[in-house]
Amino acid sequence: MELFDSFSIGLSVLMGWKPVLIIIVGVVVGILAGAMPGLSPSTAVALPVPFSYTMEPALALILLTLIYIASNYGGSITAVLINTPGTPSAAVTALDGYPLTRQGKAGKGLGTALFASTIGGAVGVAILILFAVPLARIALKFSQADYFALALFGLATVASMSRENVLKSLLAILFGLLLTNIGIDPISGVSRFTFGSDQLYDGFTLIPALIGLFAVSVVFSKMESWTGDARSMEKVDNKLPSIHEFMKIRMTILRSSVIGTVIGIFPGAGATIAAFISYDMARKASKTPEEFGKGSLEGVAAAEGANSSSVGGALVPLLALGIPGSATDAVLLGAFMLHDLVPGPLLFTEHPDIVYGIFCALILANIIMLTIGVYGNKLFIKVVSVPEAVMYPLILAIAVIGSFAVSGSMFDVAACMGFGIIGWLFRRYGFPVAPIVLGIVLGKMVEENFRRAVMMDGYATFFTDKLAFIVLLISFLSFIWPLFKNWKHHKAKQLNIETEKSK
Amino acid sequence: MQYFSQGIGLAIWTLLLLAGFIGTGLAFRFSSKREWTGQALVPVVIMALALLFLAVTFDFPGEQAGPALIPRLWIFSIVSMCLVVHFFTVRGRTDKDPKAGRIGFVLLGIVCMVAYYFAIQILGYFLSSVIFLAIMMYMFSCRKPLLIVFVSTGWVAFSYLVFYKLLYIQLQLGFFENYL
Repeated sequence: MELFDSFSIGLSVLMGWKPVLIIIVGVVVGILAGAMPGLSPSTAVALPVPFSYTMEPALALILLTLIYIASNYGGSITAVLINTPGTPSAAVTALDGYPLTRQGKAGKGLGTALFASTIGGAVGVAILILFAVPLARIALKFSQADYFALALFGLATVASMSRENVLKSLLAILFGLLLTNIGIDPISGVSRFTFGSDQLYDGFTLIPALIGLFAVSVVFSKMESWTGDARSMEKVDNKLPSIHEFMKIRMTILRSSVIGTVIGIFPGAGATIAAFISYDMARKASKTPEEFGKGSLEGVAAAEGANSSSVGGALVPLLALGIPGSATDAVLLGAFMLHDLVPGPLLFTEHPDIVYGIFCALILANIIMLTIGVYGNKLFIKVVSVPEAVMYPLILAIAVIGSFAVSGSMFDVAACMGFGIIGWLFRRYGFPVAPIVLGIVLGKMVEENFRRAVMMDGYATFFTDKLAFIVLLISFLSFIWPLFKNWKHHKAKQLNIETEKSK
Repeated sequence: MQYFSQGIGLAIWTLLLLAGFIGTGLAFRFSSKREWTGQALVPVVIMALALLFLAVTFDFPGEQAGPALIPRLWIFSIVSMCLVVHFFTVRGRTDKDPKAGRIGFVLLGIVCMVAYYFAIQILGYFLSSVIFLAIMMYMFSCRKPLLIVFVSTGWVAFSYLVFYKLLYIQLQLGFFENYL
């Protein structure tokens, strides 16, 4: 009954044309910002903060929260259409979304991303509404060893990206992990592998690395196979997934939504890790795992369901305990403070209009996002209908401005080009590039939590902490299993050849 | 090992690694395994980078769970993994190198991007972007002057309005900065 009363207070905030307009603006701005490589969700939320100062607190915070949730979906649009993830978490969407576009099924890729994002967003919000306070308390009890185990479990998802060559994938992930060690050591402050360059003190920024590895490398690969025939990309249809196809992926969406929300709750974990882990789970549970990486709707659904629902999860510790779990949450926390509001348990009782106003707006935002997406997809798809002679130069131009926009540094542009060349060479010789991204994303989390756990409790902590031990064991098996399967497959192949020879 | 972690020692170590890389390349190129040269060189480059980093870690303070711990863990894993991949390559159990496509065209593209990078700092983002897009579109066989002009100026106008004016991203203006 109390929840019902609180919701009626929240709904009353949304009455009138002004709140509705703000919800629409928030969703549209969020989608556009997410689709723009170089603009991370945190930047997209930070930019309107000064403008929101003069607005009513409830409406201002609704606007910012909606930009946050919609930008996570927006990142999938460019990931599916031009293999340029607008947000880091959309890198996982690109793994199957772009192959779908290459097959002329961009509509299905975008449609799946949209439905999965909407359902994921709704599940995340539902869990946020029902379990915000108890969930946040449980997450805060996690030790450094548990976080290390969680990050290592994320790394184990490399198995999902390997398909044929697990060794090459492992090498690629280790390469990504090594790159994260460049810069100032987060614990001791020692400068590592910077070779005297000031610009390397912060290491490589994620977005330029992503754009280089995914987008620039594809343009270079295209140039290598260029026939000199300037034509449009293959015929692309804008058909959304059929009901039959949707029913086939419904469980994947639901599972990913729950995984995304749960991972989102852990401070520091975030949408990217949620998307990678969920993608791995979806592949393991799939009846057609061989289609992953080649244009699987399940792959797109898993990535998008998880990254959108993680927003609801990330809001749990922010609203319930006042602890920001990600950079975007930190910006939101700042916006709360700008309006003299302190997130935490008291916010629920002292300002139910704001908390439940945000909850109601989030529900409404998912419906608006679905509507805009269904009609907007037809427009977005036109992007891939432009001739390749226009498309590829534009991708390079977007890559340059997108890399520069992250921190206004030409070094990021150079890094993007460098990663583009690395990505091209990796692709050329059959080394997958997605594991490099996974390594870069998780490297810092693995290192910081591992070292802190060892410093506080010694190496034995990984055996005495039950949760960490179990998750580490599962991660180890996830690494070993594909190697074993590869070996078995190779042995069976050899046996077949020998049998045929003897015949 | 600390000798190789900085200064002349590090330079010698780098040269040794470079020699190892060139040696491997030549060994594959002039053997029966020449079709696997690229497959062999990719792990060798990664291993060389890891070994270069390994030398640098000897300059880090030695403490329990210190700054060298995790990099060394990755480095040893990389070296082991590279040796395994290399073993499979030498045995011919990996895919052969793909047939060389238009490598010259790719290199030209890379040169254009590098030139674009420097041009941004000299001519400014807007002018260099127009030139870069026009050249790249021409390279991609676009022979419609109107389309080239429309796309390159259209992109620059879009980036001016959205990135420069709306988002306040301080795009480089090059020597025009003095006149604006």
